[in-house]
Amino acid sequence: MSRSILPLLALAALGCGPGEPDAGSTSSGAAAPATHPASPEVRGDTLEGLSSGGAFLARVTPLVDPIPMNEAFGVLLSLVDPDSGEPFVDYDEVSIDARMPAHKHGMLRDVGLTPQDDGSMRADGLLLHMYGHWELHVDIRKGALFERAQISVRLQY
Amino acid sequence: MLALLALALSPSTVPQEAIDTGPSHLGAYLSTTTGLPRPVAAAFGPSQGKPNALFVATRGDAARPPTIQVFEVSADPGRPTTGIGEVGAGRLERPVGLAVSDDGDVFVTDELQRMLWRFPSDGGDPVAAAGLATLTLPAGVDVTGSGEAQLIVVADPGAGSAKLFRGGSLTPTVIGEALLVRPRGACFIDGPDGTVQIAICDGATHRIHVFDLDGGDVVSFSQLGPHPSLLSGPSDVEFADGKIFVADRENHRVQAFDTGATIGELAYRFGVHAIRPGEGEGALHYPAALAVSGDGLLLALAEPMDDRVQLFGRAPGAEPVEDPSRAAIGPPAAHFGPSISGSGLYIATVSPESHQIQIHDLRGKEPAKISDVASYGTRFGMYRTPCATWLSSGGRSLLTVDEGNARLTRSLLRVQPQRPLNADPELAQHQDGVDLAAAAGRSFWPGAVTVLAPGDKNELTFITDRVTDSVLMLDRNLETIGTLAGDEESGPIRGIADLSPAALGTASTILVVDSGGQGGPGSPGGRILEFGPAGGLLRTFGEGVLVEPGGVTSRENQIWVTDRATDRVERFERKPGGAVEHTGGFGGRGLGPGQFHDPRGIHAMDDGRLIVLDHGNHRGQIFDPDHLTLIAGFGGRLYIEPLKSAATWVPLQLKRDQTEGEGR
Repeated sequence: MSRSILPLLALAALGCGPGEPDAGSTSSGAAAPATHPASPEVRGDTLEGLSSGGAFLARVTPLVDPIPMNEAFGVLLSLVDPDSGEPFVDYDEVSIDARMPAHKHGMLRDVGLTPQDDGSMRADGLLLHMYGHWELHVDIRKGALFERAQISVRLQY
Repeated sequence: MLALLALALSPSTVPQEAIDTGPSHLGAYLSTTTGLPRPVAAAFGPSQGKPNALFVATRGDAARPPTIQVFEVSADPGRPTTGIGEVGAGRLERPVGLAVSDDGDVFVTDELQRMLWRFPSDGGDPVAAAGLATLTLPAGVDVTGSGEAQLIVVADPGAGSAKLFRGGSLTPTVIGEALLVRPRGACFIDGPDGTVQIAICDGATHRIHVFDLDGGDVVSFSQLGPHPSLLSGPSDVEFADGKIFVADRENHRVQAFDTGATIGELAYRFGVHAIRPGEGEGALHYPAALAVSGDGLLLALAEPMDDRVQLFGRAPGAEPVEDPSRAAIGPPAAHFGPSISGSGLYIATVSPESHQIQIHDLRGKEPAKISDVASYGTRFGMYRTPCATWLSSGGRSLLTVDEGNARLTRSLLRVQPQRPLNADPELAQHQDGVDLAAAAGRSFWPGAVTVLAPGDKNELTFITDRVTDSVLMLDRNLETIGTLAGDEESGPIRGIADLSPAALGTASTILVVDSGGQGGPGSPGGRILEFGPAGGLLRTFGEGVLVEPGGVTSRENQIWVTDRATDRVERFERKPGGAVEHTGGFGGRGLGPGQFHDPRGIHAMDDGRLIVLDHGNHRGQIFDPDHLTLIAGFGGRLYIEPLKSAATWVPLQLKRDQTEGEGR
């Protein structure tokens, strides 16, 4: 199975109803960037979410604790086979995004994923600009099929 | 839909002789031609010595077959148009695009025949200017020049491209293949240094694209939205006055954009949303097509939902003057679209214009919307143009078909039937899906969806494809396992529209709506095909009864079909042995109980209640099918109140064995 990590195209604009662009945010599938060492920074608790079809377990570790409001932060993302515990690699593309389902909007920026030496992926630049209930979406695409793992995050005063 | 837009004309009618000096603009209301059976395209051109005759393509209705009507028109305010001829009668089945050359040849695209016809100006037999080999599912068309220098461009939303034909050649240059999704209209425009370029509107991306004649991408502009310069479902383009005029269909207006050095900048806009049923005289309701006369004095707007063409002239000033009494801008409100599904205490409706699925709870005094699912976008979990939905597992499992993204999405609805009725903006959680074009390995235009054995390991999902007029079959894992299509005996499906499961004894079957059927030009052609669980065609029915069926549903031995051309609901009954007979129906055009305007989605609830989405009237109606009486009306328009007052709705109750939704 070929595996490439596409820079993520989080089409997540505030008030993403009418007026939101839907074309310009689709970035082309770039070649996998050079890997970087995993961050030695402070890490928050690892959050987990099983994908809807049970194909993979998404583990998201914030590189900050706690997750701040309206400040950019990074995460490490690992995909794991829930049965074997081994890294899950059976996909063509993976993406991460954050949205507020009650408000029907997401972040105001796109987030890319960078492979790390330990097999995880690092996403920098996530920014949750409001207090409240956010959902982290980790989507994979394999061929024509999509599957999502979803993790709840609540930013409180 | 309440996209109330900013500009109206003031004054609404201006004598054309007053426009003799200084800047002027198009958009002053002149007159309305009514009683046209669903006019879908318009063009100006020479006919019978009139240099600027108005040609109007009509989709037809139960009594009048599709044709091209020709009118003499005047720039004098209030002066009616006069019919002077007809083209294409007995030849056309579903015209969608229309253009007239300088020498009077009439070019018509037909989406059922998948053809571009040329009707010679001398009245000779029509000839195919392009056909099946080059056009997938054609839409708008434009023509310029003549002879070897003639250029014809056809928007082909089925292929996601446009086709340019030169000098009578049947081999086109493909335009915009990787950029266009659902191009609806196309026109030639003046480019720099005397060149000719092509402008195309895309109804899925809400953008205008400009290409050179070699297919090179020159520029694109605009995006989805209600505000000035933004577009919502643009359906036609025309070039005049050095500007690209756009039929901004779902914003109920016309916008004119600059070309040249400031290409893409908004020059002006006109039109206000018609709120009252039938409101006109400059107020617009889903303007689908536009045309500008060769002398630039007249602009015609075709509005198929209101069976009319409105004519506009010129007025002084570079742009219209705003009418402050109607100067409001807003996003669209719920407008019930082509599909409805129900399960347990809940129903799901589609609102293509707001790019959402609405979930309604039936436990209140009337259906109450409790959630809007998803928002506009291209990522997984967003919808561009939702067109069909399927609800099952007591309202816990939702399927959505998105034609703009060519995607099927499965979502979990965290309904809580044991708790009090309440709104929940976080009701839906998207789980997985399939890119239908990638799965098919070709262009795919999805439409309806239905499921057999939902929740079972043998669950089968069926999705219609307009590109091939067939049905894609998916297994529980959304893997493709086959297709359904017409066979040699029945002939191909032509204009696939809807799906529904049905019961045949202890077995399940699939009903497929064929809106075009085999009736041939000028005769009612709609029909229903019934396929067995193994995919074999069992029978067809409805021929001679159905004109343009739009939706189908079934419960026990009853089958109900909406007909868009007759504004009726037809009832069929399964007889012993499996045969199906027509046993009546009800409806007709109107606003009263049991009357419709372009009825679309239909669903029979488990308890027998029959829900009809009355698309053109912006409402849903719920009937007791045994007595054909209205028991509820729902929707946001005030004129629905009389329906509600006449209703005898009994709220649904939670069954004792029904548990809270935990999802699967």
